[in-house]
Amino acid sequence: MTVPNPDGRQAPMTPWVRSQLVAGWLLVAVALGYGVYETLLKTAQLF
Amino acid sequence: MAVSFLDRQRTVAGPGFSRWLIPPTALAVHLCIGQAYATSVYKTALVKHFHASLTQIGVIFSIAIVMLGLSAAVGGTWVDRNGPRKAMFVSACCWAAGFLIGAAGISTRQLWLVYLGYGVVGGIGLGIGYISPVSTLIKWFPDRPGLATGLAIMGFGGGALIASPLSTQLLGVYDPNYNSAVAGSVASGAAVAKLFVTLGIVYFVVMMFGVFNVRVPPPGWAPAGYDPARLAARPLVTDADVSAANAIRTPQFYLLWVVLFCNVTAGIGILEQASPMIQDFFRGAGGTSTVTVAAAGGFVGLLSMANMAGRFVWSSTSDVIGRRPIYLGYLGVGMVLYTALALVGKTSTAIFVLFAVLILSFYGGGFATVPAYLRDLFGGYQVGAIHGRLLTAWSAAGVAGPLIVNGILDAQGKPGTLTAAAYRPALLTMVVILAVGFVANLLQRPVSARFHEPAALRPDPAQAEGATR
Repeated sequence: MTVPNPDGRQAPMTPWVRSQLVAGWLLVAVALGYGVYETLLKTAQLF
Repeated sequence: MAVSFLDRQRTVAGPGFSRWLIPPTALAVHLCIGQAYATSVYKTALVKHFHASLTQIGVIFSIAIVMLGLSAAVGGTWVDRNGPRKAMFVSACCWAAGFLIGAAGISTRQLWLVYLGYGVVGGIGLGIGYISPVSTLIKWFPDRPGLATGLAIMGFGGGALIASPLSTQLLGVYDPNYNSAVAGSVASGAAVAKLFVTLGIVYFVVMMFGVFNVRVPPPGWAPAGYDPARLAARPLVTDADVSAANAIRTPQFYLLWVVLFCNVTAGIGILEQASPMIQDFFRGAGGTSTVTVAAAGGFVGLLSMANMAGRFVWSSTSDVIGRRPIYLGYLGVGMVLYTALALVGKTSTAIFVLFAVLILSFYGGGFATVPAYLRDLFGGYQVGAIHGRLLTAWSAAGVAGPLIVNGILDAQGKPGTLTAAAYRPALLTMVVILAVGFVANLLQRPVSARFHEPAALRPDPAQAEGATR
């Protein structure tokens, strides 16, 4: 059972939220870049 | 009733919120739980620490995958009703607690605690975390659901790519005597326990980023230029909604279950055996393989990347060419590739690698496209809950795939002595399995209107969800 939004509160797109989310994209890119780089180093031994 | 920070009502996005900022929150969860595919890094260390067999240690991963399917199936309705923030929070708590309980089990040499921690508790975190962002992303991207779910589920494939080298490096820090570059070097149990504590804390922090920032679109929101009628004119796409309870009464659900099961079973068959397989394929007359163990490790890494890339590339492509055609490709082209691998795979390493990379990209694509396929067939109303139920196909395939391949290979000879010919029966069996999935996909038809929800009952997914229970 849920209640309809009782205080009408919404989460706005504040500069703080936006900066966190942009930082999120950057972190994802860095983390995946690290993973791909390390994997390619190992893969290079295949050829 | 008090409304907490975790409730769906507190996550409704305000005006001007960009939907492109939602995928990182989903990735924050999926990149963490994707660690589940990097357990091989410390498998040998746990075997030595517990004086256990490989099978006994492998059970940890098996329990986690079975719990993933069960918790996604059982908790899917709860996730849809309570929204992504609460679900991500529960997932973060379970996933982190799983590592901490597992660390306690390793430190006290009690394997059952690792089963309970990483396997059961962590597995629940896996299942809830896997499905938690899916319906949110589909609601934010009704015009491109394949791209949205592909982005998130790509994270599950990418999680292993990050966790594998990171864990190796951390084990080196925690155990100075361990050197991953030296064959036979094994990390101590204490180092694995510290690794578990570190991963538990780091993953909790990263997943909390997703918890704090995830947003659901306001009721009635649609992206600029989005026309549901134009989308619904495409084959097999509906603008009606089907509840999770009704979805499992339709033949479409079971046909898609078979499609996912067949696609995953075939892919896991290759993934499970990747390292020994490439060595066996290029074993010379003297019994020595031209592919070294290190190179085989590189091949496994390449397959992980293909698995990750396929999730994004093929799922996004499905938005353009349609869901049924892309599965016909995964399964139909997959059949051709498996046959070619069996018959001409040993002619050169490059050909073998190319075929295997394409097969694994289809495996990943199958996972990532399925939420969008469900949305096409059943609407976005309770797509998270339906997706959760469908993931039981993954659990079943996780058991069936290795059983089939290992069973056939065991009958061919002993590990380390097998050649390319020994793999032929297993690969051709996979062709038959893919053919079954191909036919099931061809039989898909639009869901009968008698299963559709009345329009008046489906303005608010959370409330309507409660009404169907």
